[in-house]
Amino acid sequence: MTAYLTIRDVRKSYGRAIALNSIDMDISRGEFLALLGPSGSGKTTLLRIMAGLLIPDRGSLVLDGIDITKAPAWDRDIGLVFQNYALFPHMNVRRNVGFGLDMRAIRGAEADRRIDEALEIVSMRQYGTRRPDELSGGQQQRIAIARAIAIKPRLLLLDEPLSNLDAVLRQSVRVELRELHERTGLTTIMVTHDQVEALTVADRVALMEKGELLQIDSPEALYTHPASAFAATFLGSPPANLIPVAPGVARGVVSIAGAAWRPIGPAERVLSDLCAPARLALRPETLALHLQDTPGAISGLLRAVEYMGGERLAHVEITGTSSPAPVLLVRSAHSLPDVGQKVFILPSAITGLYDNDSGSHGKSAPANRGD
Amino acid sequence: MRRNLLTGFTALVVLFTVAPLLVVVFSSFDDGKFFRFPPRELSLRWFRAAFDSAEYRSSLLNSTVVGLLATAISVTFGTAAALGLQRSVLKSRAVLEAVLLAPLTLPLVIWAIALLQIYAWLGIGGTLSGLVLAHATFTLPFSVRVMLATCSAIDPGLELAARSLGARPWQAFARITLPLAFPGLATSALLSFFISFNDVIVSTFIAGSSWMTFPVRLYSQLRGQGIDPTTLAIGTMVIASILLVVMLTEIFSRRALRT
Repeated sequence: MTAYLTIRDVRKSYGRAIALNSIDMDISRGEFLALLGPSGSGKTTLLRIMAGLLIPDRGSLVLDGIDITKAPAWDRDIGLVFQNYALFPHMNVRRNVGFGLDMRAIRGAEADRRIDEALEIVSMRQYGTRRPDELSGGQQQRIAIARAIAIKPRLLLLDEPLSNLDAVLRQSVRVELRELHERTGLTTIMVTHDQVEALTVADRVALMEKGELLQIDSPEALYTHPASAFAATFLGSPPANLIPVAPGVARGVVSIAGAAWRPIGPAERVLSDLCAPARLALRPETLALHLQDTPGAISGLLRAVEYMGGERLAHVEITGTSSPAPVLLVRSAHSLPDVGQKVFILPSAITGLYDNDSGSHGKSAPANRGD
Repeated sequence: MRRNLLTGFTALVVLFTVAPLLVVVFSSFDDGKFFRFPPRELSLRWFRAAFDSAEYRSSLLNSTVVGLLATAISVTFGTAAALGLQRSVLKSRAVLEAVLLAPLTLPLVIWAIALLQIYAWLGIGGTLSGLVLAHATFTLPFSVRVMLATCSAIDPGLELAARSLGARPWQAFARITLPLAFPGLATSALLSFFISFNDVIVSTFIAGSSWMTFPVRLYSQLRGQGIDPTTLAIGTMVIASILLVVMLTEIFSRRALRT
């Protein structure tokens, strides 16, 4: 499939600070993409570049076959929903939604029809004469969305759409955003720092850090096969355990926290040709806690148990010579032994194995392992 | 109990503030030859006298012209300065703000003496442009203050939102920022105008006799012949027009913010 929006080698610096470092991205027509990353990762800068509110230092953006790199924001037909909604406080709901139409010289009955249509999509038809300060945060957001889609944009951009909503509303808005996307079919790009938001709503997630695009994948691929240690530890709550490992004294033996560990099954396959110290990512839910020594298990000491309602989170200190000893978080649905007991942790899957030297980019497991 | 006390206090403050106005307004309708309060017989003779006096007419005109020009300068530059201070990330913002407020800290007489020297050197002492400039320098701090407060209250994201919806920068400014700034603009214009209109000290120094403003004329009249009831009639008319302007501004501000 040819890309609808192509981003090539986009860079942006503020003085000496690099906000974006050579971003390449292809987005398909009708796709819902999430730009996920911590603050300062450049995701908002990239969104603003797409919207035309910032001009990149280098690189190009091609939307539907047309180069829009230099096109000003008002010529792009791109709907942007601001984090704080940016509704015009001196205009009522209908005038807010109709603003973009007015700018396109669409007035009268046609404008009314399209305002109604946009308000209908966000179920806010009866609020037309209200003023923004008479609406709740969630309602303001719907109006901001209606205003953006009323111009029939070629691209819908959402800047942190859930960050100003309370926790209860957030869940329902997640579902609504997905439904809105299905109904309108608009190619949508959402900026978020919230992994749950990105994983639940988007078709694909672009993970960014320090101005770089680390990985762009389906939510499931990103979660189960993170291409970097950063991806492994950014996603998941709690995130993946990242444990230093080194080649062991014999074949089939891995040194973990200074102790010898003989992995079996998938772990053995991933670690079989480990030849330099590396970091092993293990998700808490892929680890099983045993009370008796089991082949392939890592031995440790149960340090603490957090009761979290439906599940428990065990903090297991790996028995070895390293100080401080690395701690493995293990998620368990069953009741756990007393703190201070000796326990054995058996990994059922390996989330990733990453080089130490190449920083966050490392070997990804298990698919393209071995170099 | 506490509410009653507060209400009483407020009433007292209002009374203190408007009492001089009431004296002027009531006395202006008196028939007496001299200023007296309370008035005894009602008449409009001092209003007639005010309209007949060429001196008062010309000084009022001077004051109005100077006031309008000074207001135009101070609002324009005040807004530009406020936008500059707010939008650019100036490290020296605090220093600049302090500098722009400096005229308020000096006694006006000292300010006027300094201006007199500068304008004499520039060759604009005693001219209309000198007078207008002098007024603008001490109305500007007020405009900057008011416009800073106004501009900081306007989310810069609104203009960006307007642009993303298809508005060119000037359209975004005219449709979004300007209406939202209107109450501030009106306030700073009114403040500037009234400060200029009421000034005696700076006007006396800069253009004492060549461009005699209304307050300067009043003051010299007062020192020469004592209180002329004509001035009370003019005062009443000035108060009425100020009330009218303030009310109109209020109405237009509401309209700008409610479309």
